[in-house]
Amino acid sequence: MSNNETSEAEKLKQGRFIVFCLHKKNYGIPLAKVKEIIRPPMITPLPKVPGFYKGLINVRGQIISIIDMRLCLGMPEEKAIPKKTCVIISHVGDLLVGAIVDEIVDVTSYEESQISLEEFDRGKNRKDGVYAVAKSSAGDLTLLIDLEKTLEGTAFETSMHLQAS
Amino acid sequence: MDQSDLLNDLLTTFTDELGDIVEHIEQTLLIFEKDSSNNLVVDELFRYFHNVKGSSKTIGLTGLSSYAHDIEHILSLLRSGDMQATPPLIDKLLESSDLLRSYFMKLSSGPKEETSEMVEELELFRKELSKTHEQADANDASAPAEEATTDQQSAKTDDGERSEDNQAEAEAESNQSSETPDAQAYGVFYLPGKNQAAKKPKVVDAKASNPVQGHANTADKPKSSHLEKKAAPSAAQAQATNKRIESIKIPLNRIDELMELFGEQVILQSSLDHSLEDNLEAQREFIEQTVTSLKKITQDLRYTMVNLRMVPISPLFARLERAVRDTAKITGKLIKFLKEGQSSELDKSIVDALVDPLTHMVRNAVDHGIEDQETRLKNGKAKEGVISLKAGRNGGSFEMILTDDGKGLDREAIIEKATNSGLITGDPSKLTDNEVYNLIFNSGFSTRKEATEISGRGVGMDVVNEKLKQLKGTCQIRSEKNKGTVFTIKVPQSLAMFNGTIILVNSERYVIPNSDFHETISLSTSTLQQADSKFNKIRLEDRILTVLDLREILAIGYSQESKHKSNKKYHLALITHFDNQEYALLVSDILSQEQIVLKELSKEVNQIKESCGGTILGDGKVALVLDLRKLIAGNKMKPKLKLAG
Repeated sequence: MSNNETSEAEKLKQGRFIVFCLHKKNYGIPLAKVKEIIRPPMITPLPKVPGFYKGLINVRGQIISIIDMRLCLGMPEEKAIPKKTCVIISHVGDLLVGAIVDEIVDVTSYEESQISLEEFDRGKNRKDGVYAVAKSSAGDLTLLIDLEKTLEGTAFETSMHLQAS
Repeated sequence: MDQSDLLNDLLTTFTDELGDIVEHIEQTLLIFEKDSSNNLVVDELFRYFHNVKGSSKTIGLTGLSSYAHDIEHILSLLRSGDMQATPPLIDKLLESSDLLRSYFMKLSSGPKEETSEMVEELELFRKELSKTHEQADANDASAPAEEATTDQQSAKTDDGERSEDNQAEAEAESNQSSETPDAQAYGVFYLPGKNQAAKKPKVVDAKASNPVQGHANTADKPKSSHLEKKAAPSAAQAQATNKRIESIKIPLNRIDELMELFGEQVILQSSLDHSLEDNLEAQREFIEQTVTSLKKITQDLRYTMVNLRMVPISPLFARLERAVRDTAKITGKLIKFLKEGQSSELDKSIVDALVDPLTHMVRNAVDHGIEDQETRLKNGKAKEGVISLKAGRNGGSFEMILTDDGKGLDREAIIEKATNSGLITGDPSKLTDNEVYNLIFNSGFSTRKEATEISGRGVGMDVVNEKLKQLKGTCQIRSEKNKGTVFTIKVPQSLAMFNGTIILVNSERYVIPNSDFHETISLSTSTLQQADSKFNKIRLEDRILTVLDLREILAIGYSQESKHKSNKKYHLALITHFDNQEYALLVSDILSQEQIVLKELSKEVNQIKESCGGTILGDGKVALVLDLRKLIAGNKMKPKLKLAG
């Protein structure tokens, strides 16, 4: 199990990332965690859930939960824009979750040297799950985000912990 | 693959196999009890124990192996006629199969090895057995010497001889093919090298020519040539991988059917792909045709897939027959158990879930339903009571009818009991028979003055009812004094698929299983306004309904519904029973009835207490399947329990 954990942590620190845009800022999540990217499907909203939890979607017969990344990070909600708005389906803990983002920007590789973790004491001070900033060779900055941390303290977290115990 | 992995694999294979064998042994023993002169039956029993002996020895379950050996020895004595099948002996043998079953349960749920406790249990039984045995031996002194040699031989029979053994068995088995439904060709899913499969001709796993070799193959090339039974790819199920994987046997022709349909689907898919390359408009007709055929095949595929989980319910019948037999023995009653529809098929998980409630019900029927012999004779009935169980499909559901010709339910006794325990208030004479009978489903209800050995162990009809409700099933009772009682149990044919009603609540669609409600009515706004403010109850003719507004309970964000409400003159409501009360659940609209394929939701959605799963509607959108019981339990205020009437 410990082997697994190290490699999980490694994935956050270097390798290939999917870069997406939210409210004109770039964010990245490790490509290894991403299952697929789809256009926004029809969403079935759920009663009694927090606003960021948009509901359920059908991905080829599999029902998964979908969240709005903007709302997760406290940004204003925006209507979906055709051919731009995307849903990133990724593994969060042992769940599969769809995350609505403004646009997919790039898939890119970062060396360990390009990622600085220091400024973000992971998960302690920040509630949004941003744990590092990556600087591309051209000088663009991308905030790296750990969705598990983002969803900490929400309905999602409880179920993840159930699994862990 | 290292040694422990290999052993583990063998153990899993064996455990699964043992479960099957135990069922067969019990079934065969019950046949044997009725027809103890039939040597074919003894042969069959012998084979099963021989099988257990051989396999368990190979993987080091020595306790079990010696146990099986002892029983095998008795059987060989029976076969040669050196021992007589006396009722106590048959009891002993049935006990031995019980012990085997409990051993199997422990092995499959527990430490995956033989614990000393398990061995002790077996040892104890062996000692008892040898006593019975010695007595029998004393009757016939010539037997032991002869037997000892046969015994050593059979103990020696290992690899080489076993394959011959099995071939002979295969022949014997195919001769008796009409006896068991599983004489059809079976493919074994997930676990290869099952003896059961190996014995039969035309199996998927042809290479497993004998059990021992079959095991070895499993270890070398795990899963290589086998269809692995994959659960639906829902997240929740995928996470459950560390649980023991259950396996079922599936007739080969069903897999063929599936392959064929799938092949067709692939072809149609590729012709669709091709047609997209050309001028779409010109291809329109062709595309439409292809889509229509695709739709049909998809439907067929769905049907075939659901059928894969179907198993014959004969093992359930066998368990019940045993329960009837044992209970009849304890109570000293003569019972004839009639079975009908044993070969009908039902979802495996439903069959498993039905074992406990039905066992309880047949025990009840013997213990409470059928009168003792004198009373029966006095009432002009045959000495022998008759209990029958009929099973079969009825419309979209599966029906089981349990009938006894006993004394019938005692209306007066039920009313007295219910009044005493505060279940009913008011004038009981107004209650219909049906309402009275249904009272026995309440917790803590038993008309028996004291608990007997058979029933009254804390599992009452309320547990039966609860279990059936979990399965989305129902139970109806008809009864006539001195004629008998008929229980009609209805369950869906498959848990994954059921008949549901699609309702609209605000602007979202939800599904409610048809078994969850029994009536829809339209309530006028003025009626609703009369609801008392505290418990939200309304009176409708002589019924009292508790109103729950789904439009409020399932409101999403800021709903516009409050406006709608005041504009509407009538409101549609579904009526359901819960805890002896009738609830009216207000919905925005009732849309249609459909066959619903239930999908498990992953854990984060399970927090939504009102739902028991999801489904995908015709337009591809997800809809929640509501669990009305949970919904009511979570949203009702706590009114006092009273029965209308």
